Amino acid sequence: MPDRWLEVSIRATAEAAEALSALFERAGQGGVVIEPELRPGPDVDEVLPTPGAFAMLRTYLPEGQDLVPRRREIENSVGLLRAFDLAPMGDLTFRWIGEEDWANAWKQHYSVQRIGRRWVIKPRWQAFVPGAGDLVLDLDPGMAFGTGLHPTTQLVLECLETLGPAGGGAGRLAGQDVLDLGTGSGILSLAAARLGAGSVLALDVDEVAVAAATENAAQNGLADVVSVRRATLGEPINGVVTVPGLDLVAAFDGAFANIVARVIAERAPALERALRPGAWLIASGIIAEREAEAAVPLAAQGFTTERRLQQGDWVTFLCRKEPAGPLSGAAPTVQEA
Amino acid sequence: MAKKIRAVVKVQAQAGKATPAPPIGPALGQHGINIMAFVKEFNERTAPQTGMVIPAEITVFEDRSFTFITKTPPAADLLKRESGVAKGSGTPNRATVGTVSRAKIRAIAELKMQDLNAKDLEGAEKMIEGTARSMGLEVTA
Repeated sequence: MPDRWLEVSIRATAEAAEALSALFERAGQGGVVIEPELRPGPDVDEVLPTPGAFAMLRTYLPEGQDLVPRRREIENSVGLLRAFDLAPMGDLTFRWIGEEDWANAWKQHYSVQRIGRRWVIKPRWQAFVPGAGDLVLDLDPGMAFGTGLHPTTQLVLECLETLGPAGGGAGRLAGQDVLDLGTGSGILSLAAARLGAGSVLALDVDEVAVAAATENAAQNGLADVVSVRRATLGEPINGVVTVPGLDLVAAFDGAFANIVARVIAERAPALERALRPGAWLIASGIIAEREAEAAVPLAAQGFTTERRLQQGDWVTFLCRKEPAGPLSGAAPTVQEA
Repeated sequence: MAKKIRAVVKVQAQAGKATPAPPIGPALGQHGINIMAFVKEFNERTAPQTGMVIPAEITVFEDRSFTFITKTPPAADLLKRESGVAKGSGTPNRATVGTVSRAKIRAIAELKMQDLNAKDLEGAEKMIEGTARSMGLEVTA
């Protein structure tokens, strides 16, 4: 991704916006953003268009060799539209922006939050004095997924509180080896480590996530427990392969897969192989309307669902791999090719 | 409890393949929205429509939480797919780039009816037909 982008903006009425958005679609990168100007409506959750139905239109041009011709195309075409006397529009404005300008803006509104009974997500840049029994995760997710704000992450954290022996408290995962597939910011790996996991292997195919999770493990003093790797489990994805030199068969007592339904389905055989008999799997990131897409392949791998949690449109399963026993191996399992 | 609306932002992105790059990153970032949360949700909701461009209308509340609804793909994209052409004509009054049948125009109108400002299906068909002609597509029986 380029370091800098030229933001192109223009204010126009709904009539002119149609023609301008077609132009921005064509000349800009990745399309157009339209932000209607609004005024408060009669109810607190109601807004109305401003008189004239003005909107701000924006598109973005990456810094590089074709910037000048693309900018010229926009300027010329806006000039033509103006010549046609198309409904009122303002002047084109240009400004340079970098990733840091937008990537960190949300942090101003990210504050300490409590999840479940004991979890506290503390943004790195905020102070917090923990109470007795609080399990604090100190986090700077950067541009990685896993702020704790999303229902999928919250459901997994709540689910974790019920794992292991009742009253197990902070030691409920004592000594366990845990896998975190698609770790994002590392939030769930940190949580497993806080609950006493002996080792956590955090995998992600995204470099941004790997960097964020590594930093978060270090900042929480958990770098000796949480090992972050740019890798996947099972078939390679976008050229990223499994962890070289590590035998990931029957290697874990539990795993998180907080991704999306399709990937959980695709990785179900590899997850089954990676887990020890009787191990837990928390599968999350599943949108309710696509629940079966994840549930069916997990069941086909012999996972039984012990709990199903839902928040809004999002579903989380706590599954269990078949325990070892006289009958283990009797049920057919589909092995990955 | 009802929440105060801060802004409404309309973007378009490839179904299942949105990224935090512009325009989505800056468009949402400036309102304090957690960009990755939107990207993940958009991609998951639109995965079944992979290959299409999907408009999304995002409502941002004062507390920086958000909701969004997805709309039907732009008529031009649907027409390109139905007619098999990669790009519309630069001079639609002179050069046609392909054809599209009336039945397909009707199917697109039915799909887009909910998002079009049309009185009835016939009106919606006329709108889609207009878009087709403006792209240099000839409408056949």
